[in-house]
Amino acid sequence: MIFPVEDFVADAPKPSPLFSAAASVSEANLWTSVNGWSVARAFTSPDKEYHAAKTAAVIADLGPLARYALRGNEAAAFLGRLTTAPSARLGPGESARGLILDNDGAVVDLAEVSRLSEELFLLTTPTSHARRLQLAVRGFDVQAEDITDDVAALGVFGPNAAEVLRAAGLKSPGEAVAASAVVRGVETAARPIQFGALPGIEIVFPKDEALTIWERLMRRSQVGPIGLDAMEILRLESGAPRSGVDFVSAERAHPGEARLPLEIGLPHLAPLDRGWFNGRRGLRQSGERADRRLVTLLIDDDHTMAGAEVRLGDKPAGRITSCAWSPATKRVVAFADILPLSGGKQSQIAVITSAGAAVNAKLTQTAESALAASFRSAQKAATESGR
Amino acid sequence: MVEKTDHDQHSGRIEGGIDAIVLGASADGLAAAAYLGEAGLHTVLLESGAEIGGEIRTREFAPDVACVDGDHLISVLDPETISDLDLYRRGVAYASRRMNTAYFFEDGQSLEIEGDLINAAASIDEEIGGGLAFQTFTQQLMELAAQLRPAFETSGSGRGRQRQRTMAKAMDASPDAARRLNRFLLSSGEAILNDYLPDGMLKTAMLTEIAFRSAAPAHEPFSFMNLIRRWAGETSGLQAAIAYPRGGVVTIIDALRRAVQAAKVEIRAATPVQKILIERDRVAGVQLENGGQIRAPIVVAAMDARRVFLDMIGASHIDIEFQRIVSAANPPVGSGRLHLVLKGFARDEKTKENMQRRLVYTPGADKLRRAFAEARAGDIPQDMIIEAIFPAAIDEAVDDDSRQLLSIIAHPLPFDSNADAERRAAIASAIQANVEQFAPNIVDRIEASDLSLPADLAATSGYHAEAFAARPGVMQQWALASQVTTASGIEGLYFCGPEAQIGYGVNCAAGRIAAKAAIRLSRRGSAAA
Amino acid sequence: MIATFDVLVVGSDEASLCAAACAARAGARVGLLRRKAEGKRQSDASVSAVPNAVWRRLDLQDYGVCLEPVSARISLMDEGESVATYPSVRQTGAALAANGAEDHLLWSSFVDEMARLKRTADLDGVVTRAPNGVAPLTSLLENPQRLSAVGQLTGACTDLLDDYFSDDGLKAHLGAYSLARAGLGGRELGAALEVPDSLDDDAWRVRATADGASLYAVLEKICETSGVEFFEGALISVLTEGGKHKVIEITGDAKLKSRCVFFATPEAAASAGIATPASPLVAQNNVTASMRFKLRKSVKPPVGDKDAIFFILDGVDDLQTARDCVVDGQLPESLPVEFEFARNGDLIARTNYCPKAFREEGEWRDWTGQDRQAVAARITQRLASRISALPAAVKKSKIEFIGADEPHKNRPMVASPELVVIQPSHHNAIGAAVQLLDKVLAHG
Repeated sequence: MIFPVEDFVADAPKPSPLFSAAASVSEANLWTSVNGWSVARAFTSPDKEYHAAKTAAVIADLGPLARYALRGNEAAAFLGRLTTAPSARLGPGESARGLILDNDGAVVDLAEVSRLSEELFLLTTPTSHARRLQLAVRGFDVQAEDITDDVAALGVFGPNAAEVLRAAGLKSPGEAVAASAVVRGVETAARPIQFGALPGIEIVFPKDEALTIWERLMRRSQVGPIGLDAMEILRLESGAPRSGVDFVSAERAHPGEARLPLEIGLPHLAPLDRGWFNGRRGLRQSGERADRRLVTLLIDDDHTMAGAEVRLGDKPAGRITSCAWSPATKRVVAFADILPLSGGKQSQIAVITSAGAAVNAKLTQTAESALAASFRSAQKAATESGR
Repeated sequence: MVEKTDHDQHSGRIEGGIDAIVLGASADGLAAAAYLGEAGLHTVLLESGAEIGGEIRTREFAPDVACVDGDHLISVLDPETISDLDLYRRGVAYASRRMNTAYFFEDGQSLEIEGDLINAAASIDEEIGGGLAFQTFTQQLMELAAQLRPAFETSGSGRGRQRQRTMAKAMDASPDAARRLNRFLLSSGEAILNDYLPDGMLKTAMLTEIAFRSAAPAHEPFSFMNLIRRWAGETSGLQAAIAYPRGGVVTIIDALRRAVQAAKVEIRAATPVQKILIERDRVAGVQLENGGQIRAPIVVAAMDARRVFLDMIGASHIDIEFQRIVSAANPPVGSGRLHLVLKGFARDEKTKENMQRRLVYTPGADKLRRAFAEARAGDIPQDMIIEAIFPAAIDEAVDDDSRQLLSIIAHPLPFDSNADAERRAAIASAIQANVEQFAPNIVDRIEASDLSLPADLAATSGYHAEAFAARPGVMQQWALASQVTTASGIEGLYFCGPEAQIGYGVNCAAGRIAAKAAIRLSRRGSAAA
Repeated sequence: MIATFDVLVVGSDEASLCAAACAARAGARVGLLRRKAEGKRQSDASVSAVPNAVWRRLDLQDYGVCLEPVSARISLMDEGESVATYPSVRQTGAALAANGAEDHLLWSSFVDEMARLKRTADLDGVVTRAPNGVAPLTSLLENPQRLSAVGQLTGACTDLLDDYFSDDGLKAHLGAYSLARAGLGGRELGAALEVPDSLDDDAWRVRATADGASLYAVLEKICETSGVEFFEGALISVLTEGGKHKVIEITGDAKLKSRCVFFATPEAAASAGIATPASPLVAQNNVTASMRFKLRKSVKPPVGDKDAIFFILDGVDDLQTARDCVVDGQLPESLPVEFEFARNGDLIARTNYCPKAFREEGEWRDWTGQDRQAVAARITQRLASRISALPAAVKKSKIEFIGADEPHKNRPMVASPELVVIQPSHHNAIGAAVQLLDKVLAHG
């Protein structure tokens, strides 16, 4: 799950349950605020943390994400309405990604749904949706509880993630199935997550035990913490858009800012042929329309900034919404919100640097865009065979 | 009036070959069904109760005395529906086409205003003076009201929208008209009347019309629009008139039923619907309570929005925001209906003439303000507006009798969804006390009395009681109507329940608009096939 | 030769000065008519915030102005209960969480949604009744989203709050801070419009810091240097005849000419005896009482600090009950009272829930000296119910009424939108006044 935009005018950020542990190992001591929680931007250097994530494993404080526990025999139906995730099809232990859409089908937020047991679901979203939940539960036999403030959460990413957990004596979830266990009297739920191309595991546990679990992980395995800056590189490389940065929630959007799933490259998260979800009729009416496209670019430059202009040929087509230096490609990897591309123009993408020069950029395939592409071609095949 | 009650015949089986289903045999539902049938669609009208007519029913409540529940007068009946469905030929006739109204004031004075408002000035001048001011007022207002008529016909799409756009364009072209409209729309009735009608009695009379059956008193914003809404309507070919149909309002239902039958629509009474089936974002038909299913690509729902969207469709098929709007709180104010059988009436011409008018008692602006405050707080107000008619005196067709039925609508009352016997008695006696204000000693002549409150109307019509609460401010009515008529985007579902209408009164325009939109969809569908 | 202006601003408060100064800086010929000053100017109560755009136009930093927000809005409920909101959304959320209700989770959604509703409804051009700036309401019918937002905002305040929150104390508190400045009741139609207004950033009231310059004095100076011409006295009448510039009579047999008369706040209009909207939508029929207590020794509020503003109310229905009384010509029993401490330690209390005229046995009558005393006593009693040490600490007190002088039978001067423009917002008075006057002059 991707963090939302930082709160730049931070309104007295509060420490997360893992703050004091994280602060004690932070050499860089560089902090920011997300959803009102203090979050480390870097512990050592983003470069080191990035490499550790790629080659070994890292742990991240995922406390700032909003989490809800949903109980009741209509919890699956309720989540099927609130999000586009196929909640009713999840077996206990399974998770699915989805989107929260408004009535017109525009994207409000990303969502992840995990079924912990027959009647208990965990919903994770980048930002809080208290009001939407309050409205959506009306008419359902569901108890929705905001557990954000009651739990601590951390993510372990990287090729060695499973070993790290095992070394710490924590039960590792299987390939696809979440596990819950009691570790020294502490109730934990562990579920597999993807952070871009990296396999990962998220552990959610009562906040009072935050330090115990963190200590255990740090001591028993040689895992290092990862901060927001390094995660940003991983995120961009995997092609996952970030709320408030690469797209604006339809709830906060000014006219023209709201985006459909297809426009932010996530059509596969809102398929029209599954059960009904809020916004599906609006989405259906919008059809294949895409006024904008969020694409991942590799830019032949050393320091592009967000906000830089993107051109198609010699016409302005949009802007860079977020970017980072990608050590793997020795280029800047960026999200750009641009006009839809028609086939031939791909080679003519250019980004205007701060010096005013145009540098080459090319579209690149990411884990996310690959999913979107295969979804779209499957869809096309289905409509063609339908004819 | 029972058409067919075949519970068992359909149970458990799936019925197909039907083009359209209409839910609820209210006036709007009947009108919609007639339109659909006339357009050649194989239409079935389903009514949960044993009888048709929505809340408008004839009921015998004392030996040999029948009353009609629901409205007792007609003021905004849609002229297009009347002519399209040929309702005059099908039995609608007026016993009184433009009823005069006699206003009774708390100080014992009274004022009669002619039913033809444009020509009422002369007699007002004769009676109390100030006719000219009244004429200016009615002329300006009626002109604007007529211009605004399309605005009161809400529909999610189609020609109604087109008409609204034309109207908006005409308004934009004249900044003066736009400014006047804004003022009329936003302002309280009191503020506008202060400018037009300085005279006490005329002002009070109009204030009373504004506050009658409204959720808000005349000193609150948007209240003036209540009057504009009513005067935008017409009855018996005359704008802003009030009429009494021969045989009572229920004859409108009878005429609509004839139109439905002539259009070969099958009416199935006592056929409660459990849910509306939705498949792939489209309507697929309905599931009956007896287990049977009727499949059809079009469903026109003429029941209240809560019943249709929350009960029959359910939260898991409607948009979250739409659900919030449909389930939003209703105003805590309602009206009460009291029927009294009175004995010992003189039979002279003078008395008879007096009894042929629409009688309105008004406690005056100050007491009305307090009455609304009390009603909103859940208390029974001491003072209230009374609208009363003597149906038998108006209607020549009814036998002359020394016993007379007095039909009363009292407003404002607190909205009680389940008043107990004690509360009902208190409400009835409060209404009677106000009737006494203009008809002294009436209590001694009461032979029988019958009170009906929103909950009773809900019981006969199968609606939620909230559907019979007073109408909120016109802005909220507009907002609600424009939402419910979109039916949350479900294709093939059309809504013409009470929430689709702006203002109160038997109107049928919502039924007409819903049916016409459904017919367009059906033609598009068959053209595509 | 009669002095001739583009606009005559009437009013003696910061919003009037600010609107006049901005207009004059923009090149308009501006007259400012204010009440005759009585003695030394008293230490100020809090004022509505100066929006950044206005600050930039006047460059207030050059004059040593330094403003700080009031620390909190606190409602002092019955039996020692209290509810507080703060300028920071997060601090408010935390404070509500400490109270135990589930509502704290909704607070930030609520603030966001109210802003969105206001933006979507876009009622500014419609309800301010600015000349020539009329957006036809019929255009609303075109846009269901906008219509739906308008529907919500033109409804009752209680409906809006009930749909969100469960805690009565919080609802009472939010209702009080939205509606009390306008003297409205929660169940009244149109009252909901005040809720987003009161949550606006610029609706949060501010004070000059102890060592900063007084905002009033600075604005006065800017007006003078920008060529605003000052008059002292009161408005008598506006003659509608004549050309583009109408003749305006003011006290002292003086006359001047102006294209329009502008009231920067509803209070300014009320004190000139002009029928004003209590909100953009609701007609006003209340009188404002403002009472200043000089204290012998300092008193402490029961909760919070002296930089907060306080509101006394007993229950969630108080405002509506009070409003019903006012409409009915009675003085409310549990009078809603707002109070704060001035920089010099004075306690300033105010209520908008006094009737325009009194009704006794069905007859209307004007204010009498006894009524004024009764209001003063009621306010003092309400304050004492929350600060028991207050009566003993009072050295002297003075009460002032706005809008009570006008005999109720006289028809007030009609505020025709072409000639007399009144800024209807009670929240963010400065920003709204400057914005509206800009619009008026642009169309002139």
